[in-house]
Amino acid sequence: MRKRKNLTIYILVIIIIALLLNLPFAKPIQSLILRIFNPIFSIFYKAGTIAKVEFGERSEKEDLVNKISKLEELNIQLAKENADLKTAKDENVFLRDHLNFLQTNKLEYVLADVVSKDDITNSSKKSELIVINKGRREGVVIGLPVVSSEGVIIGKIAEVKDDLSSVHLTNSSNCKLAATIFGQQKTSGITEGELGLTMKMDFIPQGTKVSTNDIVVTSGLEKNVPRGLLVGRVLSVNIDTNELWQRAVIEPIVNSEDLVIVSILMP
Amino acid sequence: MYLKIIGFIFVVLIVSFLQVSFVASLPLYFNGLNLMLVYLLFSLLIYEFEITVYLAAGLGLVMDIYSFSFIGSYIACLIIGVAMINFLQKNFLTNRSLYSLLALFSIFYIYFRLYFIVIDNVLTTLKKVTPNIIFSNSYFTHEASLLLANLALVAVAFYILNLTSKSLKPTFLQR
Repeated sequence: MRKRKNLTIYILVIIIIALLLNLPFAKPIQSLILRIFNPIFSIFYKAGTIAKVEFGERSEKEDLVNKISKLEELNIQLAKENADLKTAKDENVFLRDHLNFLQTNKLEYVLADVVSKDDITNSSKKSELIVINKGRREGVVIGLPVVSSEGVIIGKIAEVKDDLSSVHLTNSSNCKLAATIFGQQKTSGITEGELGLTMKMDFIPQGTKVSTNDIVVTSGLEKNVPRGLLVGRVLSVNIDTNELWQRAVIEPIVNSEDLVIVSILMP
Repeated sequence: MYLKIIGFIFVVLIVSFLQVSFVASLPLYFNGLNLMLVYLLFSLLIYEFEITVYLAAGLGLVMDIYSFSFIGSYIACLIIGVAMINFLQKNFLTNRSLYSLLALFSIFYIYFRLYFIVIDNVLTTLKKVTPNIIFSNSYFTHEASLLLANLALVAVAFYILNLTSKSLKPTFLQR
């Protein structure tokens, strides 16, 4: 009986502590705990990622043979495209020098380690959220873009704590980006994650020609998100002649499952 | 006594690290493993109910700090869950067979998922964002496969514990 009474008191104490931790004055305590534990969480996350890559490499060997032949075909096509682009690049450099048209962007960034992926409550097959070990203390605010080491945008900051932030990945329906499809014609719109797998861009006028493999980049029409960050590649276009608009399905270029270090682009 | 407390704190931290970072980064189905619930279920059978409640509170606190919902949601979820499982184990699923263990875990797991579906819906409504969970056939199939993966882990842990210790050996009453 006495033991039960003690247990009730202890549970009440725990609940009171939990409630107090929600109050603003408890933030330094939370920050301290996060700063102590973040490096350990990073180590565990990296260990898990290494294990996954090892596992993945074994099962993917068979798929690789098929992929190689497809990639060889794509390679020839890209080489041709590359030649055209190099010509365009030379022309571009020439024009920039002479007209002093643009200044090269020097972006401020903060490097962050991924410490966790998805909430334990999320059960979708693909990750839609990552947790990184940088927060308000480093000047991170909601809406800042997060890029991979290759400079590809992978998502936007969704929530911020003092030493922790969550990032909605581009395949999440909660991540919307102002973007442009670079095809035969340029078209701008909003991309939105779909089912945790791909992105979609709606309301593309029927007259605009969009094809598969067209590159999608950020349009710069959004606060804090610079222009020209690679978003993905057009996977398919849904053209229904009865509709006023067409819809493009966009495939992210970076595999969010393998992310370990990311950069937050500061305003 | 103090050594035991330090030991429990250490184990709670290790389980939290594994759950939040290691398991989350593993490939599909492995990343759905819920080490917390498995650990709490076994500790309920091995230790006393009171100790398991403290372990649940400790685990809940670390999980709360690393989650973006309000602090206290994990603590409450785990303590209520442990109390519920303890009640079922004491009154209905009393033998310590693998089958009753799997049944207890299934109930614990389903309760845990339902609790966070409610929390997720409340939070997404308050924040006016799209809910993370979309109920569809594939969602329920995926949930069922995750439950199976967790049950496999419970079964493996049960046999390992039975091989290495006597704490889970079934007891029989003689007339």
